[in-house]
Amino acid sequence: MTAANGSSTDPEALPWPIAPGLALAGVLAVVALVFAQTLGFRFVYDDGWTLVSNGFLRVPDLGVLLGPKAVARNVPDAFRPVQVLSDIVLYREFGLNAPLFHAVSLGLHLTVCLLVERWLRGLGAPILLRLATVALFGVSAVHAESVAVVSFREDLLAAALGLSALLAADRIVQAHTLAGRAAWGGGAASLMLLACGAKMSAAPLPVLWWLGRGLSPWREPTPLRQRIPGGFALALGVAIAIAHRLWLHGGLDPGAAGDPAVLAYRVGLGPVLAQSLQIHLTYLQQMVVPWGLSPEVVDRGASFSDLPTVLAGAGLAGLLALGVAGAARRRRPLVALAILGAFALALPTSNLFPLRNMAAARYLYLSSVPVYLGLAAVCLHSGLALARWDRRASPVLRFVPIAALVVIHGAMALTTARTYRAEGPLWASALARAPGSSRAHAVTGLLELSRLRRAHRVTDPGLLPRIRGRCQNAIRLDPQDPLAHLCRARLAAFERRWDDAYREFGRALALRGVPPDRLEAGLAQVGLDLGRRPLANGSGTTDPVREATMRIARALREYPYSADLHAVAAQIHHRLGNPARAKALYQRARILRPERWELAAWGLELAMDLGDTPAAEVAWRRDEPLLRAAESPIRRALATRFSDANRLFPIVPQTPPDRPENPP
Amino acid sequence: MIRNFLALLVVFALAIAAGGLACGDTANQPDKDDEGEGAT
Repeated sequence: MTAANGSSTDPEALPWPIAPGLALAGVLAVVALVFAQTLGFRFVYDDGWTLVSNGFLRVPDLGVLLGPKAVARNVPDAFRPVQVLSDIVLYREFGLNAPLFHAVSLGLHLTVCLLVERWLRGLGAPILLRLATVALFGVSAVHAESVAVVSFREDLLAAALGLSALLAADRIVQAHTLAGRAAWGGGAASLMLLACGAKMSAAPLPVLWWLGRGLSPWREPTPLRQRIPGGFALALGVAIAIAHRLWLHGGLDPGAAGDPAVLAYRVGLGPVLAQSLQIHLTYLQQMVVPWGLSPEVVDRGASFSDLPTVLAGAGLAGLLALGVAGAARRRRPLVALAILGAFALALPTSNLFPLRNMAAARYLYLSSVPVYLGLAAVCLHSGLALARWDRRASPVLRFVPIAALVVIHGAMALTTARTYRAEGPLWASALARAPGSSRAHAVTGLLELSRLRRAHRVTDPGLLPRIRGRCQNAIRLDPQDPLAHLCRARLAAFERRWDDAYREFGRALALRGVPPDRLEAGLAQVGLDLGRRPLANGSGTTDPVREATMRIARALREYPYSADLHAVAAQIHHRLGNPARAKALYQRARILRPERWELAAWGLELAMDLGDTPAAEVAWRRDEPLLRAAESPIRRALATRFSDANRLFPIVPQTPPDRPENPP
Repeated sequence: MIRNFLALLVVFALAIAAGGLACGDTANQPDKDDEGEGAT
């Protein structure tokens, strides 16, 4: 069909004779190129405690993961079982190969782009609009965090599974038999359940599906009678996921429940919601013009009478009114779908429910789908108006707005993603963009302290004072931040100020927000160095050995999958002269985190301390590849000690030869 | 026509890359592996 101006009005026709599939492949190729650099990134952010040191991935148990024991045993991220399951499978296949994990994230993002296109095609959207939406969504700079950080793969998983559920629900509408509808209904419910099991941000997707089918900007709307089975199936999946989470954890976000680090518990919900209005207007700005993105955002409250809050509230209310007006009698169905869909998908991260971080770019992953649909439509419409205004201009002019926005977003995505290549640049960027963030100061201080501890000679005399300043800044900015106290605790331990270290570890533990197993380990270790202290009632002194062993025993019961806790427990028993217990704990720690060279070194030292040269010999040969990751001075010291052990306690061949006891 | 389309994709990619370089952060930070304390 040809329009009066000679252009084709076939919704599947492109301005050039190219197959739609090829055009889509081209768009996906550009998306892949923008984020290809992530294949060279390391593990950052939450990758540490969810992947690198997560012992549960090494000894997985599905029965534990899906039941109440996951909570009792403090399985990391247990309230997102689908994400944990994907980590288990990927770890089994790839080990700790960061490029392969990043490749999976990139593949998931491309899959989500494809699913967005399929969903829009199911609604009858024209090919140009679908390609423009996918291009904007695919290269959007706000998605850099979700794609570049492995542990934020939960957003990609939830989106992929959720959009697949919407496509399955579309098939219910198209099915002609009851059996067909039932089969697709089961599929839609299952996929929706899995999506919510990855991240609860997928929960409002049934609303998006309902809006799409009801508003139907490009076709006749699906009759209500035909929409009900699909809507019911999707809602059922969400309901089961919510019920499972409430049964296991007693709340929708168990990580944040009662956490004093959550601002809503400190200042009240009102100021948080007021600030949230400003946050959401900023989200909209960042999705349109990718400026001001930061890996760290300072949580703060606001007042409903503040001018920025009033303006933001008015802006958002105006948008909502526009969406509702567009939905009334389907006057402007595309406008309504874009606006109301975005509002619905933004609900889980709107701060109506307590969140540990009030704002983050990764919260926008799903809710940006309808936004970019609307933005793509605006760009194409303005381009068309531009081309019609100057009839002598090239027809390519109509694509200038969308092309310009895609290039701007892609360029900013390239830059933003680079922030997440390693911990150093990540927290340097966080500190530069959010100097008021206690967490940024504390984590930067902890990273610098970690480097200082590994260094064997101090080349920068200003480093220690700088670290001290970071920890102080963190405390000053937020005395309730457990990371700030952890910074002071580790610094005090490094400087052998055992009283201060013990006190600060205790404060960090009381405040929550940091994995408690490391804090318990720190308290147990420092408690030994602190020595005897007078009891509060003045009736005697404490027993540091008994305290440390009891504390570590209790922590091991509560955190059976913590590799680092087992390692510290082994060191404590090693130090206290309990070699059998130390050996068992070193072995357990190595099962939970086989990649850590320190465990191999400590186990080797235990064997040499016991004069068990045969066991040391076996351990040395077995662990030599792993020990190559150790710093040269440490390797040389171990080799020297091993050589001395061989000289002092030579291995005497016996007939028949005794097998050495299984080395640690 | 496919060749023109591929050329257009290359132009897009180059434009994005040029924009990314122009907006790039030149701060030099150590990339050595360090395990952080997480963000959530």
